[in-house]
Amino acid sequence: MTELESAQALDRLMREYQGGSLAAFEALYRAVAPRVNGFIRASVRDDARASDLLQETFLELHRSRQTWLPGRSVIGWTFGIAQNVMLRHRREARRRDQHEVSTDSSQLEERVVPRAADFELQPLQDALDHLSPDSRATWWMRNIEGLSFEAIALRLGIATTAVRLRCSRASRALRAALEKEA
Amino acid sequence: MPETPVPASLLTHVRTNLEPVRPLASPSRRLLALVPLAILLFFGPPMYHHWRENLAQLPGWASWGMSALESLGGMTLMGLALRQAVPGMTLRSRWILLALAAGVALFTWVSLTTANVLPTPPDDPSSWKRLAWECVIDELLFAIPSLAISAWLVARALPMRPSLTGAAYGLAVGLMTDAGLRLFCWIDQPLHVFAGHGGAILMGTIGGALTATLIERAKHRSPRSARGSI
Repeated sequence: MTELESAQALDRLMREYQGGSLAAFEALYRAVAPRVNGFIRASVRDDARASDLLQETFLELHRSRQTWLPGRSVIGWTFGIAQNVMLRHRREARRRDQHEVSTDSSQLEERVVPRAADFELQPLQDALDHLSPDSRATWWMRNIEGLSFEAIALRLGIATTAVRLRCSRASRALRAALEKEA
Repeated sequence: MPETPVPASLLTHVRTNLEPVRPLASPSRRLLALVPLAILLFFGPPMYHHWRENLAQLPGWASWGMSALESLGGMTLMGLALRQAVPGMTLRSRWILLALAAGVALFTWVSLTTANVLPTPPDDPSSWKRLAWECVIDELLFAIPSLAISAWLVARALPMRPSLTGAAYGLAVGLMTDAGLRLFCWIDQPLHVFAGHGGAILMGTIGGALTATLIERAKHRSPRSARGSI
């Protein structure tokens, strides 16, 4: 299936889903969940938390399904919801952290001592956190999913030039952040 | 594309709340629906009270022109807030902050320019506090119903940063109301305008930010939301 056909298929599925089709929701989930998962994992290292966020994103997507405007990019809309859910989680965690003082020493140690596996990706994940949702999604699709500029443009419903510009700016920002970190 | 099964709990949740929904109108169409409200806010205060006594002394561009510009600025901010509430159409926070700053700059510029063209202090300088307070109340009386309508329109979507989105529609309503109020209030002294009219705009902006934040929190806490049937 070409990217254009894929975008059209998602558009059709979304219209059917808004019309009340469960089969359309299932098909949409199968088509979109892997990309949303990748998008979430660009910011969240913890597997369990990423999985929770994925599920919550789809719950929110279901609650807010009327906010998808026919003809607009389904992927861009889904990433927008994922970003919204992640931001809300971050705010809630921050509020919890302000109120809770952990007395469990093992938990404290776990927080303070980073896991060895996190070391290598930590700077990149931190740098990715500083990008805007749009730039992060574009950079992710280009550099991790390996999509062409044209394919990304079709998915996000924007011009190829804009995709190139976003990728270039995101790479420059990431490079600067990583150099600063080093 | 790899096959990803839908988690059973998610599927059950979706199955039990799968009534058809009508997609929201685009932000620009919803903004068009707010044009009558902008017109009401423009003509409402002077028609409810009376036209400013020195209206004839002010050049047209400084009275009607400046008010129209302020109202247009408010509509632009309102469009931004409505757009900001749709996932996938959101702008970066710095652009919203820039737009808010532009709204404040517009109000300041309009007020100072009018004060330059026709500096009109209150008849009794000692009553400036009472007059400023009256303008705050007047402006809020017109702004609050409009704020409620805007909050409802934004709450139907899913704003990513509710406080910023709320501040945008609060400031928008404030500007649109002030566009009408300045056609009724004849005092152009900066102290009065910034304390009275600016105070009301500030209250509208803070009120919008608080309202949007509280609505979003309530939406995500309510049992109705947990059932997924917004």
